[in-house]
Amino acid sequence: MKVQLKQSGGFMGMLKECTLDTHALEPEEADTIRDSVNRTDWNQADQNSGRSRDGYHYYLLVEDQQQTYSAEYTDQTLPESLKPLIAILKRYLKAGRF
Amino acid sequence: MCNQAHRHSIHCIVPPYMTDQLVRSSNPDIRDRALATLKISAAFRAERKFAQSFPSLMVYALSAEQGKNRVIYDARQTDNLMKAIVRKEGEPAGDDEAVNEAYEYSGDTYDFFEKLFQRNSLDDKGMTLISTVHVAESDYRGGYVPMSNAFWNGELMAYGDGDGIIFNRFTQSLDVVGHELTHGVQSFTSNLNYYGQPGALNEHFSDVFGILIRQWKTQERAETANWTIGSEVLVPAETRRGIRDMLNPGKAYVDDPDLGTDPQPGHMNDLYTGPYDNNGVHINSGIPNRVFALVATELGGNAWEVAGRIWYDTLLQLTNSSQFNDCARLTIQNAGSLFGEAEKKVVQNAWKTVGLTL
Ligand SMILES: [Zn+2]
Repeated sequence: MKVQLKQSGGFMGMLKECTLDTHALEPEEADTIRDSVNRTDWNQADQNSGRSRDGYHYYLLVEDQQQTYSAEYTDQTLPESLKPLIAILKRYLKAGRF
Repeated sequence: MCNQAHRHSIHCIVPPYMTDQLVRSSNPDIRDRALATLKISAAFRAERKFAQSFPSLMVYALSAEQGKNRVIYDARQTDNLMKAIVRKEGEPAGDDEAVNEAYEYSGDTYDFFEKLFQRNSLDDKGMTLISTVHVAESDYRGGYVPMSNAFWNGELMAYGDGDGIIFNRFTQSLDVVGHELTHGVQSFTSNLNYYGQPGALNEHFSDVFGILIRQWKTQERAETANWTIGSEVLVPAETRRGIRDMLNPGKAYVDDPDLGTDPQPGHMNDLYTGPYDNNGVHINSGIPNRVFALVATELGGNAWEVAGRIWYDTLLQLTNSSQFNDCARLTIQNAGSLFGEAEKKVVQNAWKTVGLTL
């Protein structure tokens, strides 16, 4: 499974990104990511930041053999099911270019 | 305990014995007791759910009638923004630098808006300034990592301690604290939409008043002032001087191994039109930021007196969908009506420099 995260916003307004293949990860991380993906209702994506300012925006792309999912969230709308996945991917983020 | 099924019941939030008169009492002893009760009550243990569901009511519950009223929470390296109250208005400083900074700098921000613009807190009605320090982000194993960010959640300011490698704690910078609180002021005034040009103006006004609060406190003159936002927040390195540079957008950090290069444009020709960062709210703010810094340095003296006044009046006149040219038109108009032809010309020229001619 291939997962890509682009994170923008924050006080700094930086774009950060990473693309990972779960095969290259520790089994615990790979399992957590697969579980996150399977538990998520991908039709519920919401990019509203409400009244919050300087929070993060997340752009997710997930590809496996059967399906491709893409969705955009904010800190306010990120579903519980995706929080472990985002927490893992955040550790791999590097500065991206706009 | 509150749950989804009965969370709309007011009794689930505020115990019947604690009326809002108590928490809003002008008698500090009564107010403190009411706040302490609120803190330990069963309802308050459900505060996160409540704060998400009824944010404005939460702030109302903690509001003072008038004057400066600060409350500092310690998230204790969790993402619970209301974990524990560690300092309230009038209490002495302690050993925790982040608590002291949040308390002192939110007080400076209150004083700035009150003394210069006769504004009584964010809502102009004495709203309590709530800050939460030591905010962390959850990891996937049930633990937490320090947050490298500061944000306004619509009700309070939240500050992380940074990773210690690139970012220091965010409370260290007065202009960052002023920036976050100005988001609060904006939510009660122009309430600029957080997307595209209105969003970039929202970020711009937060940077403007963030930096003015610092210049005012340290009595920096515009010509020689430091126009960099958040320099204290970054662990020093040759490739980075701050988070944004208002006078020289795009130059706050260059070829930094961790941060890359500051993406802010300083001219309309380079306006970012892509989707990220809400269509570039922290990116395109570089354009009006440069206008403000050009106006202030050209006029000289104390930036908060002339340029600050023009921008404050403009903030009150803008609407949630205002664009850069609305901001340009109003700042030019306000410069003329508040000060005179010379000041109007300076503002007009600055907008022209960034490619906006009306
Ligand atoms: Zn901001």
